[in-house]
Amino acid sequence: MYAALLKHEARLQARPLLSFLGIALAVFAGGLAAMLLRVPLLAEFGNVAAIIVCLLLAVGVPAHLLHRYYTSMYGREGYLTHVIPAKHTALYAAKFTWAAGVWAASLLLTLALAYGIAVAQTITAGGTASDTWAALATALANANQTALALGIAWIAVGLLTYVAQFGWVVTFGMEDRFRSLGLGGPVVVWFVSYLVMQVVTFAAMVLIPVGVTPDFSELVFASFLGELPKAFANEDPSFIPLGWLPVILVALPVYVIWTLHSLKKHTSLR
Amino acid sequence: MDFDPGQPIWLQLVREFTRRIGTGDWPAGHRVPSVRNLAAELGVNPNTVQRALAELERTRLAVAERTAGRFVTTDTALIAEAQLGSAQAAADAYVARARGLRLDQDAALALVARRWHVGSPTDPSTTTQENR
Amino acid sequence: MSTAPALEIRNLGRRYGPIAALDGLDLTLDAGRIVALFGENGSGKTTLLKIVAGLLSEYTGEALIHGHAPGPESKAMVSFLPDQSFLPDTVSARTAVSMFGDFFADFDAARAFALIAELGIDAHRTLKTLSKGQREKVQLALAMSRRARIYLLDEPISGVDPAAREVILRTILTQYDPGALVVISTHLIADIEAVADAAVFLRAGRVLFAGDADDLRARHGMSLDRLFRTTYQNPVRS
Repeated sequence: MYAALLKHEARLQARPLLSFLGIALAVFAGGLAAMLLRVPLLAEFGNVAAIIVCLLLAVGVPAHLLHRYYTSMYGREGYLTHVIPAKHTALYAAKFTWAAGVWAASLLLTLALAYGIAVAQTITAGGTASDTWAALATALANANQTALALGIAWIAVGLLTYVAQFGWVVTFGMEDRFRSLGLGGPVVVWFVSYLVMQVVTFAAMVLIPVGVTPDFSELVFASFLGELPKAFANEDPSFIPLGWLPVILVALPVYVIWTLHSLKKHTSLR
Repeated sequence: MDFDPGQPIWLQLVREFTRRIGTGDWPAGHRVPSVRNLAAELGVNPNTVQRALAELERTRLAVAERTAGRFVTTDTALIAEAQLGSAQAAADAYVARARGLRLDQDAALALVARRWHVGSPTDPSTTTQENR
Repeated sequence: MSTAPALEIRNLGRRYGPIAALDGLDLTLDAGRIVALFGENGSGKTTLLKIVAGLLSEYTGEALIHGHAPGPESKAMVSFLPDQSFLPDTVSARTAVSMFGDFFADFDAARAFALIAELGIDAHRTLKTLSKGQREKVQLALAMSRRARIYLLDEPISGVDPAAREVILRTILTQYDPGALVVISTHLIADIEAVADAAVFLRAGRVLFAGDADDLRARHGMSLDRLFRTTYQNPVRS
């Protein structure tokens, strides 16, 4: 049933996503062409247009995915989704896979497009395409490898956490207890959970005595509490706190399990 | 056919099926249409059709054969009775009206004889006219 | 096969805030019947169907579908036609048939195409180009093309013209499996007098009375429609 559900997502969303992508790429290509051909006035405009396409891709795709989750689960299409003889775990797995996959693909595409803009800018400034590649390679080589690996892992975990978080926000926010709020349910749930997460993350960062030296060479087991005055005074603290990391790592399974529970026990179509 | 929803529909079906057997619409010895087909034709619940057909079996107008289905009786006396039975209500109504109009029996019968050829006997509307 | 009734509902309750949509409803329905579910607006008809279909997880009491609480097992047996347009606007009837084939093991695609054609709908047109009545017919064709053990039809005839109503009722009569249970909720009682063989009258979230349609007619000496009108003119007994 998981495969059928995934196929269903693809069947319904392939066309709108591809047409959105087609328009975005056409605008992007036009913008880049204007830059490379050094068309007076239009070249600047093309640069801006290409950057806007990147931003729209980064924001538009997750917005679309969030909207589709809501309409297919709790809009009128939910009347089909929830009579399908699938386990709630299969339903959730299909939704999750689709959202995470499409979003990851759109982020990779955004990166590629950003690289394209960088190439075009280098060429416009009198360089060659290989200059951009060389600059990127140097930057990557000079970067702290631990920090780089950590950063990529953080982005990957962060993406999954965001998918789980927004799934939870909609699922929990559409429970019966928030019925009187209507669509405000998910909004309120998102806002309150955002505040809670800020407080919890800050508390964990301060209270869990784990950190790393600025050059990522060794772990520091000390409370960040003593470093706070420096941080507020805009000076560099002597180590980077990592207490927030467990919060992120715990948040992901909490969101997933809570959403599954909500789906099984509290689904209430309106 | 139109039903009077104020009366049990299965009884109306029994009357209708009896009429069909009496008039030979369902010929003697032939298979009675299936429940499903009758339900679709009449726009009626299959269980209601089933109940009416069971009543036909009880009155022996139809005979169920275990595997082959359900057949109209071959008993011509029963069929003739069904035919008369179907007309009886109309006859009763006519007699009542004729009495109300102070006709005597001879005059009433003469009127029937005079009107007999008005309208084709094969015209299906004559059956409904009887009920007026 | 289990000996449990097709639908067994015990002390079913469901509240919307202070309002009880279902208030201790008890009802047992056997397979092989077409049951008319009557009641004024707010009497709990739709809520009852939604719980049995598995769209409302929050309720008190019990609803058993051939012995199963609402869940994947029951959903495989229940074909629900909601009074909602549940298909995406962007698909055609042909795609919708393919979707149903993917999701429901008991779905008969050939039957669905035959029904859609019989109802006069072009299967290639996207649903957003169809009228409301045409969309309802597509949904009915899909729901009736499952070889389900229970069909729940919520107001299947309210939004369409009388000619289409005739076709739809005939479809219900001819397409369902004689061993299945069909529950039709409607306020257009006169239209389904002859189609239903049992009736359930709901009031304020409970069963007011239920029984064989012809027995009710014989006992009260009136049509179900009249019975409904007379019953619901009286104020609610408290």
